[in-house]
Amino acid sequence: MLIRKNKRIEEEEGLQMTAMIDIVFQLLIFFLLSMKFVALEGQLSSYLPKDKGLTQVPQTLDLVNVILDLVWEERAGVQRVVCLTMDYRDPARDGEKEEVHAWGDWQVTDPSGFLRYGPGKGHFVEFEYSVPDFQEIEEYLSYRKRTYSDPRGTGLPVTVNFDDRVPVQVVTTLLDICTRLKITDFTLAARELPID
Amino acid sequence: MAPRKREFLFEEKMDMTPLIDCVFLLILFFILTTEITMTQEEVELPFALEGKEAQLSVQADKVVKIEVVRKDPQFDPKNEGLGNIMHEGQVIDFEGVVEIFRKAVLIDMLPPPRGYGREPEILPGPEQRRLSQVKVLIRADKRVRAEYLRTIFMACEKVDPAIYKIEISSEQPSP
Repeated sequence: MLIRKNKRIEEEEGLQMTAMIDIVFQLLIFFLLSMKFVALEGQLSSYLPKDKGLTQVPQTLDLVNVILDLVWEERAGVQRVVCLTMDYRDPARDGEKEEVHAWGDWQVTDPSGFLRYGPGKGHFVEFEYSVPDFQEIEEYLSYRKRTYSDPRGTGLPVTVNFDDRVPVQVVTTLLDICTRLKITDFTLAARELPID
Repeated sequence: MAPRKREFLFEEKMDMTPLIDCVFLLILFFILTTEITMTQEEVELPFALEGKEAQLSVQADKVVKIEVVRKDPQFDPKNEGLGNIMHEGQVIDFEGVVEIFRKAVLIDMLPPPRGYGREPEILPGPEQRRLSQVKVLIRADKRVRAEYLRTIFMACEKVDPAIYKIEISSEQPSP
């Protein structure tokens, strides 16, 4: 009899926590699942042409500068971005645009849609379209930088023209490559733009 | 005999207090952090390895933030990279961007204390173009067309003094 009485007292004494803990755990699980960590965010600096762009001086294209054209192509259901430049590999072909491209035709992106990106760093970026070989572009730019005489002391000037349809990721990737190569004179040009 | 039994009963019950303390702390943490992330726009930033860490606190006053958000995938079934240009949660068009830049440039050129009284850089040469020190921070979704970047660039050209400093936000690889 005495024991029973004690038990009853113990039970009444303790606060009923079970229901609260149930709810608290539910809340905890909800927040755990719904939370997405804020991704680290970096910034890439770039400049617009200080004069009014290439449209103003179409005839005085300086072949010492690197001008990269990003062109969007859609053929037979395949979407791809092509990177063209003048005076690529063969200085004899002045004024003619060639593709910066290492492996030939259409299979630049891995069939899985992932591209190895960044030398030796093992990062993969997913693209939903074919892209130019960024490592080849990086090698080309680094070669041009090494051989640049730098008459004005500003470093190799790189200008990127891009089609309207080219995704932002490709433009950013070029900017990224130039930042890695410490090319500070990087300009995003407004091509064929009727300003005013 | 009686006290021993009591002891036994006491040990039988688990002490939940520290556990509940921890759980409450966790919940508090998650509530506070999710509030912060929910206010951000859903922009999938392009990936880049070399992005410098954002220094918004230092120069927040002369940075204009423009976002390019991807249009709802339902309205863009062919995945054509359509998007909206946004500023402070409002969808804006080209004229809107120009208006925002014009205000930023004007404020930047006001004498202190309201503005910062920066003299615009003047480009040497026949054109004598005035260049503002205002910086434009673009947070663009990686899938949208670069066309929207160009719209923003055109607006940069249109204001006087012209804006030429651009920052493009990128996602960095997780460490």
